Amino acid sequence: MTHKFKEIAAHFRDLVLIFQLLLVWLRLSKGLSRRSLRTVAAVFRVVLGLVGLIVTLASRASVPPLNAQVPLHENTLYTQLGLEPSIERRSCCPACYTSYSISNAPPKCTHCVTPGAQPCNESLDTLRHRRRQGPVKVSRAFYSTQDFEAWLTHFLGRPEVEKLLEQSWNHVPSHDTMYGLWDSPAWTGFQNGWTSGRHHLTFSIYIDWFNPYGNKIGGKVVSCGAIMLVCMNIPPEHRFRLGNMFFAGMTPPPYSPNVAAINELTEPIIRQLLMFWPGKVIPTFQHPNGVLVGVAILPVLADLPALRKLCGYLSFSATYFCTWCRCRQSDLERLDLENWEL
Amino acid sequence: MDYAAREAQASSTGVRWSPLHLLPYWDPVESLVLDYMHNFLEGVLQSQLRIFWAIGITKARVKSFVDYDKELHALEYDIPDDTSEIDDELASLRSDSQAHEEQLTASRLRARTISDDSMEIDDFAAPNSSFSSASSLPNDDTSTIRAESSHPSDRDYIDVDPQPAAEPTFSPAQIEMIQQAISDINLPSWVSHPPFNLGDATHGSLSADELLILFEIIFPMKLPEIWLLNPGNVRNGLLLRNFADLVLSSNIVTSFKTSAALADQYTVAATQDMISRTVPAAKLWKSRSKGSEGEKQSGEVFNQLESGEARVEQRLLIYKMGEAVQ
Repeated sequence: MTHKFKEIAAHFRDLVLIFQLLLVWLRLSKGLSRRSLRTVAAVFRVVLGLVGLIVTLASRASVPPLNAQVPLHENTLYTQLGLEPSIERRSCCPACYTSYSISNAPPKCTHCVTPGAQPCNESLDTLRHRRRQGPVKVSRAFYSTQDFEAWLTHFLGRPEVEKLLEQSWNHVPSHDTMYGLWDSPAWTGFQNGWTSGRHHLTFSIYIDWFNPYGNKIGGKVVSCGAIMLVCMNIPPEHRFRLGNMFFAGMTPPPYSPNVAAINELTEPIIRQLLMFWPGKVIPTFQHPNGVLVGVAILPVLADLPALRKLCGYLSFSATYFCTWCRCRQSDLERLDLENWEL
Repeated sequence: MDYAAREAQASSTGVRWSPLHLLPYWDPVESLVLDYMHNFLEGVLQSQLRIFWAIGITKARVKSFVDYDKELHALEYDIPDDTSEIDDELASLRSDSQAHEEQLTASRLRARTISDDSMEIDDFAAPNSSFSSASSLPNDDTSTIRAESSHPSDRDYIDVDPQPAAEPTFSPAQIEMIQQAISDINLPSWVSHPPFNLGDATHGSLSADELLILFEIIFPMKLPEIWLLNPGNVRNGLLLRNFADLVLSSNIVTSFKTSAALADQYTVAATQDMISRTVPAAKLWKSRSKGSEGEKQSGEVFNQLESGEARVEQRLLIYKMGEAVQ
């Protein structure tokens, strides 16, 4: 009789996990409100508490008391289940977008644009009044980036992902008519066919700015930038699903950074990617002990202004406006293609 | 390197530093992708529809054309016979009007440049402000311009400026035919249907998808019919030729498959489209610089079409378009 209770006690954690998953499903898939989630979680607590009490009483205290519980708060739930993405949040200068770690950020920005220039000197902190603590010093802006390695481990840990990726590695390019990126000379010719190597992932980088308040006439204009990476090895129909894209970072609102400041924001992301060239060992679903995964960025997807900002070209209305040829703004009417200097 | 030197280098070479250059395999020229939604659908197709064909042209733009037209007409009739009493006034005005005129020309040219080059053409409903600098002239200034423009030395200025909307590409009856076609053509329910009142300010700005549907499905079905009602008309032939080039290039751009041969075909069609946009028949669109490559070549096209080749050419174009649509 006692060993049966011990068996129940051993499965008690699984029971708690089932309740936790049920709560997450209700919240994310069924759109349950936070308040209702708390009520449901409280009911589950009562149920689990009763189960624990019955087991303890019936076994006459031969098993240790079962006190695992479901959390009442949504965020605790995600943390306990390991669903939270690993995000690095840094204090960011609102003027030049240099980022500092939150714990030891200087009061004023010390970044110099060029080695001999004056420091930026923009104040990084502001006072915000909290109901209980009173005025608290907080950073004026934050720059959040997602950890690429953590995301990649999670991404490759999903059972279906490697099957999708294999389609690109096994793809035989058609020579005459091209039906997609995998047939293009840019793909097949990249680093002597690097793209078709196993566990070689090619990403495209995307950046654009949007207004989180919506574009309304007379409305507030706020510019918030999203930097995304899309894995081009996934077939096109799965490529742009939310779960398959890497949200690299979000530029701090309310303004979009200028041509010099954008480098401060993209550099940490590029440095993360640089660690994966030529490769790094990552555990995947099919190779739990790790396999060498290489990551490269091939195309940049953006509209004209964002493209110029990200890649360090001048504006589309500058004298040298073109990213391919040496035509000038005054040559805009020239249509003699064979004489263009590429 | 200090900040000024950096900027100087950027403006002389057109290149700045970017962290992407840290990647050893990075090719800054080959790695860029042009998005065809902004550049082709909302750029080329929209300017064809709204500026070249003047369907849904902004009020401010029309007003500036109309005002300009009035000014030109006023010139012809309003020059008084007896100029002695306004001679003094003229003399005093001439000096400051000269300055004003230069400023005005500059602002007009700038306004054109901005509106032609900007990524997105202004909304239908919200009239464009870039032309208001040229069109909203205070009353007392009009006389200044009249006086100055009557001066023969200013003829060049008039020629260079965009011509008024003397002859729109489509007559109201033809626009009605197009609108009828939009409502007659049945589209699958998942395809967004362009507005039935096309050209009316009330439908707001067209989405890229609606522009695509218009130019890929609806216009190729209706426009050749409109223009071929009167096949001997040289102007119609030119418009049809221009339209065929546009449809051909847009079909290639939006296709889900491509090849090197199609890319070459696109280059030819897109260049032809740009050249034939400057056809002399279309008054609304004029090349920015006189004697440009486009204008020269469109003159050749014009001569060629006039010399009886037009019919054959048109048959060929219709065939080519049909092929491209398939």
